[in-house]
Amino acid sequence: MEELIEKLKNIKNATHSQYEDTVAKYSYDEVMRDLKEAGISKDDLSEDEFQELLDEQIKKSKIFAKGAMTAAGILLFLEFLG
Amino acid sequence: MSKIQLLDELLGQYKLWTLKLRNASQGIENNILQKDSSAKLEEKIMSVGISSLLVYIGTAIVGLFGVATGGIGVVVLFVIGWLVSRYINKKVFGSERKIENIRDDEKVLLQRLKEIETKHKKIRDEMNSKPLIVNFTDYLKLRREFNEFVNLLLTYNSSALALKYRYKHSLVSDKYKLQVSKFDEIYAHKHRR
Repeated sequence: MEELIEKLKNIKNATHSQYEDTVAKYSYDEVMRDLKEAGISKDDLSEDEFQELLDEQIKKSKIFAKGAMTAAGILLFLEFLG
Repeated sequence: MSKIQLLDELLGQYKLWTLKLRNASQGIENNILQKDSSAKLEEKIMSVGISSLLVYIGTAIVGLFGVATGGIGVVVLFVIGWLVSRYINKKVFGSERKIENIRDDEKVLLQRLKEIETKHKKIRDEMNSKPLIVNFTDYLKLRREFNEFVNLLLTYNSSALALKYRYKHSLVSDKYKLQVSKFDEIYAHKHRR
C-alpha cells in the first residue's frame, strides 16, 4: 500500500476521476500479483470471479487511501482543529 | 464432466478460495486491532458536524431570549462541541490497538487465524509445485480446525472494542463463516442444499 500512498501524494490536486483511475489501476495490479502468487491465470477465471476480486481490492484500497489522504494533509484544516 | 476435469476445476477453485480466505482473515484481524485508516476522516467529519450543530442550536436558543450570539460566543460553542465530539468519537471509533496490548484470548484468536491461513497457503503452494501429489487430503482435520476457530469467533468477547468495531465483528465473522462453507464445497465437494 506504500506505493499507493506515494501515487496519491503526487496526484493530490487531481480530479476525482484521476483519483479513481489511480486506485483502480493500483487495485488491478495487486489482484494480478495475487493471482500469480496463487498460481492462477486470469483466463481461468470467469468475468464475475475476477470482478469480485477486483471490487474487494478497490474497496480495501479506497479505505486505505482515505486514511492516507488525511495523513498526507489533504484535510489539513481539519487536522488543525484536531 | 470427467473426473480429471472436475479435479482441475476444484483445484482452481481452491486456489482462488485461498485469496478469499485471506481477505476474510484480514477483515477479522483489522477489526480486532481497530485498524481502519478511513476512521480518522470519519472522526473529523463527525467532529465538525457535531460542533457546527451545537453552534446552530446554541445560537438559536440564545436567540429565543432576544440576545444575539457574538463571535466569541460562537467560538466557545464550537470548542465545547469539539470537546464533546472527541469524547463521542473515542467511544464510537476508538483507536488502533497494539497486538501487545490486547487480551490473551484475543492473541490466541489472532494466532489461530494466522495459522489456518498459512496452512492453506502452504497446501496451495504444494499444489502448484507438485502437481501430481494426492490432493484434498486431511479434510476432517482441516474442517475441525475451522470448527474450533468459528467457535472462538462466536464466543469472542467484544467488550474491549469501540462501538463501530463491536458492530462490525458479526459482519466480518459472517464473511469468514461463508468462506468456511465454501471450503466444504470445494475441498470435500459438498453442496449446500
